[in-house]
Amino acid sequence: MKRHQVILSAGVGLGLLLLFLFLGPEMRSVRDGGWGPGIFRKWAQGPGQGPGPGDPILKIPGPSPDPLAGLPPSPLNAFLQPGLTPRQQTDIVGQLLLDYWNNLHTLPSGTWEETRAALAGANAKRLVFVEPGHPAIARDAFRAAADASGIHIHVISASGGSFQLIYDGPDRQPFTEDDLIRNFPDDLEF
Amino acid sequence: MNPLPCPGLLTRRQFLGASACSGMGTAGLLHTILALRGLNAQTIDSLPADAPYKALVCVFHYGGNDSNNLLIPRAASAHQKYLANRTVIGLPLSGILPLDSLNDSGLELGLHGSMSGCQALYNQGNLALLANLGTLIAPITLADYRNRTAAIPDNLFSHSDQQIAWQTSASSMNAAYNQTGWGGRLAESLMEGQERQSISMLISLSGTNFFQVGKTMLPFRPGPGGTPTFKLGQSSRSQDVTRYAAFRSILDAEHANLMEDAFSDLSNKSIIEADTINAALQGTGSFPTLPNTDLGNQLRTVAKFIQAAGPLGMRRQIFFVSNGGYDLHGDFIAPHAQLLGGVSGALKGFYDALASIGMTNAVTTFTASDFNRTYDSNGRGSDHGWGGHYMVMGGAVRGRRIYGSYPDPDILAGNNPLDTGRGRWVPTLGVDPYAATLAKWFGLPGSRMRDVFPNIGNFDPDIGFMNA
Repeated sequence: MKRHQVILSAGVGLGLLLLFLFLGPEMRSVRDGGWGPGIFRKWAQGPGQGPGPGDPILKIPGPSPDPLAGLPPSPLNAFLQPGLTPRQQTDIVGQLLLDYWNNLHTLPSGTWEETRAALAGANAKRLVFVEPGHPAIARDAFRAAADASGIHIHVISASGGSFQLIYDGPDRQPFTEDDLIRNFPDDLEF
Repeated sequence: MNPLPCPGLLTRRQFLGASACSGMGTAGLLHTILALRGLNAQTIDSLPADAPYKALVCVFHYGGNDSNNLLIPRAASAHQKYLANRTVIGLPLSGILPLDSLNDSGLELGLHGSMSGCQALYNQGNLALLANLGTLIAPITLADYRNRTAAIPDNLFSHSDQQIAWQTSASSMNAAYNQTGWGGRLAESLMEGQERQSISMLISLSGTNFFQVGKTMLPFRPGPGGTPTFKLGQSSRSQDVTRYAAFRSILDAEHANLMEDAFSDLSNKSIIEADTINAALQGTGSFPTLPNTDLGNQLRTVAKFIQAAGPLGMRRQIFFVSNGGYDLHGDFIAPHAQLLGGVSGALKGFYDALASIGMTNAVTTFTASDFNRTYDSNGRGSDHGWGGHYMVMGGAVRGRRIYGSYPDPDILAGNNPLDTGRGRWVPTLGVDPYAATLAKWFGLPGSRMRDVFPNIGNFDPDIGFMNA
């Protein structure tokens, strides 16, 4: 080994020693006898344990989940927006059914499963008005959320495109006094 | 000078040849048309000269009658299933009237507790029930319905579409038929058998309907007490008499305009018909057995027309009456009992009225409705269904019997062979054979059945509930 190589090796070794002497206590936590936040222990333990149950950070409300997240475009997506009035909701459902009638000259009717299937493409032209898994048609009526009031269809004339929408109101029960009944067309007599 | 040759023009020889051929062909075609018209005239004149008077009366329940509560299982186990499925709209055993006979499967069935009038008619043999009947194009199974492997009536579960399907006995597959009703077509088929053709064979006591619309015939629509009077002609004031005479002379005049001519002709006929009918109705009874309800009063007027049929020269008449309010999605038990009680009282009163003038064997009354309703409840009432139960009443009815098969009253098990969902029954009897059985009794020959019922070839045309 030449002289300059010996000097270089000794320098590197000395540097590493000094680095350990100065930073070592910083990398050990106070609990472990060091002066720092305990990086050694954290490395050894893997991911952190997170805040405890009483941690105030947990009391800060997080952002509301977006009801439309991940949904393909659909005329019923707007129906899921929070804060709509029953009238606005029935307007959206009514427009969907009018679109259905304009395309097919009939209206979906029967059991809710048959209605849902017809809207999802089981119709004469195989037109998909609402994706089969759309949350607005998941239960027994059009609902903006699982526990929200429902909108039921009452078909008066499928071939004539006239129907009623019954918003079942706070009691979640159609055909009761707290319902909102909308006629399509407005001057429908039945 | 020779004419210039013109391509495409015939020579005289060609023209004469073509004319001769065309003449011969036309003569054959004309002869065939004339022969067919003669044949048609012969078939139209189908009623024998001495054919006795007959009338059909359609009682239409608008809104979809829940006939699951009209004809109800009474046997203990079946009634338990009925209650378990119908929940809040089920009737207790004590609220079901017994019938004297079982159905064809040996099942004990009963009538709604408010229908004592119909119960009496049934047990006397003057009323029959038809179980699970509905609009069909051809017989169909549940699998056919689910897989769409058979023709299904258009727009099931839709009020007006199913009313039209009932009344026209046609679907979009029968384009030539779906603008007319089977009552209208039946009347037109038998029109030549009528002595007086100025008065329509079709009479509606309940406004316009599809049932009585024919290709050329329309129903006569009198008011509740008979015919609407032409007020000007009834007044004795000299001024009105002069006006009336002037009006009639205007109507009698010839008009150059076709519309004016047609209007005058129609107005004249209406005035003459009204005068004739008013005169004939004056001597008819008041029929106190009929209740003073809307339906009762409609049937009272029908009884008056039937009593006046002889003086009016009518040998066949088809009446239409109706009541509504059956679309009971919400509050159910009390309103439905009131409706069925009203129908029962009116039918019994009508039968007794006909008995008082000796016409029970000449008149057959039948019920119809948009559809039956769901067997399960929506929590308060019931929703739109399909196959249901109906009544036929009259002296010519083979009564005290329930025709057709009653659905298994259990839809909770999940394998009910007639349940399309929520107890919407696939009908096992069609409207077509129901109507065709009535039409056959009315005098429609078998050769003309298809003219009135386009799909009758798909069914056995006679259910057998009418005597010959």
